[in-house]
Amino acid sequence: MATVTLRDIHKTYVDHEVIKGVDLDINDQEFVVFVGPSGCGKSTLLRMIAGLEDITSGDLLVDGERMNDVPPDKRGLAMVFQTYALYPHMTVAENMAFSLRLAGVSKERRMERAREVGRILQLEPLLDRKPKALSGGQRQRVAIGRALVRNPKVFLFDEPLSNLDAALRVQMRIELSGLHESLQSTMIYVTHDQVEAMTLADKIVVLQGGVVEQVGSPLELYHHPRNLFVAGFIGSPKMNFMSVQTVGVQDSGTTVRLPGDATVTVPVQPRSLSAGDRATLGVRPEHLRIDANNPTLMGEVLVVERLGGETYLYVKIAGGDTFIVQTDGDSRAKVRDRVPVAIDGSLCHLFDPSGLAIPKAERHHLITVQHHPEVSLKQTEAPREQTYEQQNQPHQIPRQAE
Amino acid sequence: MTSSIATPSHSPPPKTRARSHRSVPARLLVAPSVIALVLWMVVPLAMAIWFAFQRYNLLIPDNREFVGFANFAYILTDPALWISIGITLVLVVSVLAITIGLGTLCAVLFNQDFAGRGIARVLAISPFFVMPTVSALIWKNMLMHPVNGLFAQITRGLGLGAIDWFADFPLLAIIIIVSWEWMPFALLILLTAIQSLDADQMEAARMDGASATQLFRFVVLPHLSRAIAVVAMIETIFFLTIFAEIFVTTGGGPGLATTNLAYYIYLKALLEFDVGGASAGGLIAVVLANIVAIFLMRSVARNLDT
Repeated sequence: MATVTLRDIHKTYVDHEVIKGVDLDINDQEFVVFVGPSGCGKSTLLRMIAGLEDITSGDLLVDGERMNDVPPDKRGLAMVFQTYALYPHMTVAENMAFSLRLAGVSKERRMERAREVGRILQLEPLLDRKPKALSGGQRQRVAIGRALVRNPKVFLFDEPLSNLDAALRVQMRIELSGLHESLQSTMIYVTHDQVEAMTLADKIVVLQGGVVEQVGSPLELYHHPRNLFVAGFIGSPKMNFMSVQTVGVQDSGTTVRLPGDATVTVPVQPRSLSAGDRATLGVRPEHLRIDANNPTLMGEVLVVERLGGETYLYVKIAGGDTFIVQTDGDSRAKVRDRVPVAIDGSLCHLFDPSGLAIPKAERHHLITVQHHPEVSLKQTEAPREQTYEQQNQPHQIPRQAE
Repeated sequence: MTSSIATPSHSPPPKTRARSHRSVPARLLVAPSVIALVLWMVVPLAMAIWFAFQRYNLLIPDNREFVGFANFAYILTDPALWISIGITLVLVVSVLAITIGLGTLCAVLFNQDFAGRGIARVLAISPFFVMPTVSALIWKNMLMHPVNGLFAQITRGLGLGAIDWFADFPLLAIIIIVSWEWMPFALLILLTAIQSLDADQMEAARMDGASATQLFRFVVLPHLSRAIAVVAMIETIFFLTIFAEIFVTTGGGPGLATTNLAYYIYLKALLEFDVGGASAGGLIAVVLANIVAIFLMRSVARNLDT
């Protein structure tokens, strides 16, 4: 049981401010992911929660208790580092039980606890090895084990998967989400990988330049980005933007004119924009179609990226903007082809000149306003998934050790 | 790889031909340095062995003959040899302990961020650049001198009287001088080792609840163990043959109080002109050095392994 609350947190190094007032509530058992481009302050924020960096001003509360001046080991948190930070001269068991050793726990008790955690993480055959003799994924697991041993209220992960290769990263991602379901503890996770953020998080915090841009569930960020930055940051490839002119505002939606004189009606609430205003239209590559029957505009293909399953076309449209269009892997489009691009207004986003999104008329059907029913649903499902995870892993690990 | 699988019968012969082609000029090219090295090493050793079995005194150079193990028998029964070996060991061990102990502490200190750290580091390392004779002279005449020395002036200023270092504590004085010269070396190596310590590891230990001393004991010290082993090995090689400091300050005295093995051999060869005895002593020194080296190599190799 642990909640973490940040109240107007600031961090200043000598004369420049890296965290500019962050307010955040993290609920019990929640998996929160901080994402943002490098240098956005996400790691600094995590390290401030951990107690490795001082908090210049503001309050950090864990379970309602102010933790600003409590030393890192007394905050009831455990952290997994990007470089794993294992102690090279200690065995796996000693690494995991190091905190207990410092706390003066007897050797038998320590080793017992290390074995216990080793069993959870399938590290039992490796307990007597030194970190040097482990693979990246195993080291990662030891680092998680070291956090687990302490039985923390909150787990902190600082880009834990970024040193692993792609296949292992996917596997560890699944294991981490399984771990979260079985432990039911609060986790805070920093990453720059939005796939990790989207798949792991209950709640994503998008940071930029030390400011929280948006907080929400993964799908909320995807379907209802609050501003241009979040819209461009979430989703891969990035959302296409184009400068447009508003031609009509109705209750059902706002109609805008694209550079090529085509018009698109976006179902947004009739708020700040009025006819004649400049605005920015955003549409994701996966929502654009190559459609000869009903083209919104024509464009010239500049680059074709074939991934097999899908193809990305970089299309230059009237007005000089380049769009990325995701189309199927069998697309015959070639460089310098002229292709018809269809834009579905209901899938577009509209942003006012200050960069803020104009709220959609309707919420996306997968996003429930009430979070709680969803959470309780997950909890009842958890045991089944957990056993599935545990059955699955013993087969995977020996293979990986070979 | 695929080509070697495709043509298995053809690939081996060119390979061996290529190797023989390459090896002959390679050996020729290496030869000059190998020959120089062999001459450098083997000739003095062979001569030392040869002289060790001769009666050969420079005062009566004509009276030279093969005497078997007489030189060894004479030297091994000379109590001065055993005293000098004991002094050598005391010198090596105590200077090692002082330089590594202080070096580690200073390395931790100089790794902290403070104003003027760059200058402080250079100053701390500079004694290593002073040649042994000069630093011994400075210590002898400017610091430890019972009349003019700085230490004597300070203690006298406090009304405590002066210590005549080289008369009363000659071995301690030598240990202090050599430690002063070599502490910077330990500091240099250990400082670079400390700088390579992963900051995340320190932070992980802090999260695990380690206090400052526990951090040092459980994270910093194990990380430094390898560097400490290397420092110990290199320093031991040099400390077994300390000479200039003794020659300049005490001349091995008073009595034999500061005569180490190197100085003992010098006494034999160039004060008693007994080349045969000195050579026998030299061979004993070689054996001693090898015994120490084996122990060191073992411990260092084990350390480097982990």
